[in-house]
Amino acid sequence: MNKFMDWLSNVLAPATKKVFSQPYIAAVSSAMQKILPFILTGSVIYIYNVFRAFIPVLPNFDVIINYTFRFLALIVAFVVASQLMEKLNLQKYLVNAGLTGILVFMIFIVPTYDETGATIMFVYARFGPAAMLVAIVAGLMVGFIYHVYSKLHFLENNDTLPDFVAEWFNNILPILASVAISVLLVFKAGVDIYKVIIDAFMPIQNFLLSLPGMLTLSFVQVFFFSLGISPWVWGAIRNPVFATALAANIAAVAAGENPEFIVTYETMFAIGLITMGGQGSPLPLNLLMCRSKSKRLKTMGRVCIGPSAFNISEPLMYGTPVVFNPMLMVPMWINALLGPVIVWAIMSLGLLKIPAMSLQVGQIPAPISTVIVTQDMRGLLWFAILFIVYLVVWYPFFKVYEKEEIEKEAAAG
Amino acid sequence: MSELRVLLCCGAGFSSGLLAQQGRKYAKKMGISLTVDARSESQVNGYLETIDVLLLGPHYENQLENFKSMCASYPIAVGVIPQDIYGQIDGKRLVEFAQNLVLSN
Repeated sequence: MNKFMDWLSNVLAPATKKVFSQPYIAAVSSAMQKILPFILTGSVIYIYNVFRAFIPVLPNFDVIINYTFRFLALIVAFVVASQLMEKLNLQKYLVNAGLTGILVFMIFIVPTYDETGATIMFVYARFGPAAMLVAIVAGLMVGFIYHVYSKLHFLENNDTLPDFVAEWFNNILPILASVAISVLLVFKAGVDIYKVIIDAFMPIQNFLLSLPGMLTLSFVQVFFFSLGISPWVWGAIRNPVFATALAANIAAVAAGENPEFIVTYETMFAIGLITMGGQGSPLPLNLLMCRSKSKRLKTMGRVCIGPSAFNISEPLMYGTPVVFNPMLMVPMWINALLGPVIVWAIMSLGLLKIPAMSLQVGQIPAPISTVIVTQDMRGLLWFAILFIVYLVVWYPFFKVYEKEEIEKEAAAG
Repeated sequence: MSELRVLLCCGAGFSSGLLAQQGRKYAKKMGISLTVDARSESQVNGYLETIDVLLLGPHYENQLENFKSMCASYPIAVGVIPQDIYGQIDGKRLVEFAQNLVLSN
């Protein structure tokens, strides 16, 4: 165990941290934060619609969703390119790169023109959350072109051109390169780049939306969180998949069918069944701490219980600590596998409705969030059952750790 | 010394927000001239002109070098909040940590 812990802290954790500090990965992770306000604006309407279901006289504001949530990819294209400029320390190109990202994205979604050329047509769904991945690729490509261009140090310190002429070139050339490459690819070579990207990603997407994929996703995030790596960084991989799945669920419900995909942000986070008190479901642990005979654990428990109720688990993770604590890491890993299995089972057996509304907020206390997002009162029952399951997993490990702590406190007098 | 402006950051500014609140409370109580705010790490770039200290949550330690280079041309002290301060949401020690970081820079 000691050797394993050493390997975790000295080899695996630093290596992973290094990967996530790569500017291209860090940019996509940050971009997933930047787009949240636009997603949440759509969520306001989804929550409003919960009330509207009971009070039908309320007016319909779904058009606001159409111009926020359903234009998500367009926003992503800007944000990914501009975030990459920020991470590469090329702030001077931040806005230009973002705007170029939008232009390239508009080409990547392959519009068609009518005979007169006066009307341009886009497939609506290609702007939406399902197109997020294409937008990420567009944004990264533009960012990459700016990155390469900045390395050429073209026209810097020249003594033949006045500065403003050099600046024209410096601003025009990366835009020209980005748009020209995209146009050649899509309109001259006739590649449906949208389809190419979506198809290439399809095997990964299909895997992540299956039960083994759901388990992998849950376990990996919790495992690395127990090594002190924020779960937020996985947004770069998981959020495009979640968004596609949720968009399909929303479309299914609109068409009068049953939602199909279990693996969405809403199932994994918002309903608070898999992340009860945060990743790895530490809410029962926190309550055990509040009643602990160890003075330190009791104090920590009381400090952390407020944040934990809102699924903010960082204080608990670092305060207890759970991070790099072999005794408490293991139950957290077990919960990260148990939770998804149970939720998958109850949702696929029709014992709890699959979420079909966008609510990308993990900070509403469960079981309130469970009922709002699933629109299913049985959520209360499943919350109680899962709470007991997690409690049973935490209990024996906690008791051993608590005993050590009490002994330490007694020894310290 | 003029007012010390401290910015905390984490994934979305949730957990660092709780700590920032405790830091403000302590500074107010002790009459220390200091402001503490918390934001998502993706927003830090917009605050470089208006802060003196940038502190990352311990789970963003791996971004330290990135943020140091982002702040390189500003007089900003950059550091990572120690795990125990973060876990205990300890406003007092946060303020002291920020003050010491500035002094040691």
